[in-house]
Amino acid sequence: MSQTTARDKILGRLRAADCKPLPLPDATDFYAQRRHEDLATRVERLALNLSNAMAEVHRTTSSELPAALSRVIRDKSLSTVAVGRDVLARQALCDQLQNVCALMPVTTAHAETAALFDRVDAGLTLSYAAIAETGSVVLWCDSQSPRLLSLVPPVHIVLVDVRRTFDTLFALMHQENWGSGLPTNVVMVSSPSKTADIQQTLAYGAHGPKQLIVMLVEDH
Amino acid sequence: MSQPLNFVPVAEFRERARSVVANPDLQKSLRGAMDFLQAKRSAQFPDDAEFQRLRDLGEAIRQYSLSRLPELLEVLEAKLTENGIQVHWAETPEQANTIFIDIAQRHNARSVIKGKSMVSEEVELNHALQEAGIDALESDMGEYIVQLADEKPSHIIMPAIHKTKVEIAELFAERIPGVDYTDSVDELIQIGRKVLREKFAAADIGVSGVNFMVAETGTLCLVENEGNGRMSTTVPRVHVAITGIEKVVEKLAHVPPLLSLLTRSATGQAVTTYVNMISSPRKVDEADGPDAVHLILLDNGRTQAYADEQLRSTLQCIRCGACMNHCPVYTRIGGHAYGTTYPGPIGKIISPHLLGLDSTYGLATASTLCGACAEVCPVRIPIPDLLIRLRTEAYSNPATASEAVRGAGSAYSSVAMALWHAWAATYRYPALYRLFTWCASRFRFLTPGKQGGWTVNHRAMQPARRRFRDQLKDRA
Repeated sequence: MSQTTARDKILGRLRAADCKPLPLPDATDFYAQRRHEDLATRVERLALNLSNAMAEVHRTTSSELPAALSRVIRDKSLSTVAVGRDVLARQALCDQLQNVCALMPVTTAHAETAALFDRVDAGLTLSYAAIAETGSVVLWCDSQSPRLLSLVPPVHIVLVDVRRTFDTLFALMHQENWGSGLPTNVVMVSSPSKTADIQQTLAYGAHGPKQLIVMLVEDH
Repeated sequence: MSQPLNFVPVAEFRERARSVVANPDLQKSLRGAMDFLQAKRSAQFPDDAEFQRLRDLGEAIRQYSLSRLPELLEVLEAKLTENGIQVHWAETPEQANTIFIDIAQRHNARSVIKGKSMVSEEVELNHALQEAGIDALESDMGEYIVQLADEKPSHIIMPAIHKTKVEIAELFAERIPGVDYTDSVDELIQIGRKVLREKFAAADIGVSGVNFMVAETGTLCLVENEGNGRMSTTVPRVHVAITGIEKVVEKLAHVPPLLSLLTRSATGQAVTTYVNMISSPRKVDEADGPDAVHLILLDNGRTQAYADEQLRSTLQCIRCGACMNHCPVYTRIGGHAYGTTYPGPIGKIISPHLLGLDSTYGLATASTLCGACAEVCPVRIPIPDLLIRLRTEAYSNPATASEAVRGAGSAYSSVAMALWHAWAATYRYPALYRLFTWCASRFRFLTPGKQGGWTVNHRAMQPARRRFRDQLKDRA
């Protein structure tokens, strides 16, 4: 079977419909009509939405972050925490964390996948941005930030620089010019993994993390 | 494994529907599930003016994307190829399965783990893989449950919505080795999690559907709550996505409004747990993700819907399932009665293009045209108008039927058509009408006592002893 043929036949049938192009819709107007909030209000909304979605939210500052994070790791007895290059680059933070847990670097292709399934207690990631409207943390997955850390271990801890909190996904895409290109994977995370597939009863920890811990880092 | 279900004899549709209506347990759980989903959706749209503006935008984006569909597909293909994602085109389910099996064989794949994909159901991928000796396991909890039960999804968003937790508890205890009976939902989910985790780690290929494809960036957007979609698209070394050609939008900025309409309409969530945007396979210095990503674009009758200006709006659909959640027919008969991959109102208008009107015309008539579906549709598909159009196509004379829909004219009956012509003439010509009503009242004793469905729970209808016009004359 020739691939070219299927492609050309499908496109040929679509072209034969001779459909007149409609004007390009602009979503800007819709989002412009909505209320824009100042940063402090956006952060409150983000924290509230995340908490309502069963994420555990901790509010801290960059100087207090290492201690706050160590406390979380110790309280939850997370003995092995997987990290990517982005977290490893924060030398001072890693030095402190190593007092309370073993940090497992995930940097080599496919090398740690089995370990992530079998013996890692938590994945620690940075975030790219956050979205107030939906209470979402945005992960920008590339060579610095692996995809599985926020998915396979039973606990996902994510650090959010609250200055990067946007009103909506649209505002984020627009202001950061996402249309010009995206990394391998971008993920919005808004709660621990969940399902309501059995008799509409909500249950957490379906396939991904059972706990989502969000460290909101605020510097005034 | 059950046989493919993609032929739907009309008579069996009625039988299936009747048996569901006669089952009080199923009636109760369907009603409860629909009430739950309706309430959750409605809570997401407290401001109707905002909802209407968002719908305007969603409808405009989908119509615009369709108006430029061939160009956008070419831009998408070029951009995906540039990003390292391999694009394949399939006109039919058979071609899609052949492409898939070919990819699997090139990678020496033995096992496939699947995220939720209705298009993979549409092409009966699991069946084709099984015949090719490849294991395919569903990983969405609902899909996993229906696969364990040798069934098909009865809802496009909540595949196991027809099952109670007790039924699922019994199923798990019976079919999963080493599992004791428990009807705790949390425990059941943890059992599923444990079984499927082992499979994610071992699978050679991960399969997914796609919610939106973005032409300008070459991005596949997937929406989910469980994390199995991310697992299927990240853990195995090969990811194969399969979707319909209509799912493309031009701009990334077109995604947020459609995403908001989709999750709020589908499950009443402001957003799902995960929104997953994939733009390339693993790059050389990245630690995880598949080394190869393929996309299979399926036609399977979509170009037929596209060719007709009115029927084209069928392709605006973003597969939220709100139409079925609000459909009085779906709520009574459930998803399996339809026998098609897509049940409910959207299934009634898309299935004729996928399967032909000859096997599906009974679906278009199984509607009261109440319009609830059109009222909730986030992209304003005029479903009742399309149902009327499909009925007209099905019942038209095959000799003169249009070529818009395969199988047009298949419900045609010359006797029925003659009766309709007689009826029309009676109402067009006053003399004929007077004669008819005179005969009807004079020979009223000849009216049959059994009048089909009507007399199941009504008294038989009979013309009046004296015609209305005669009664009026008496009063003059």
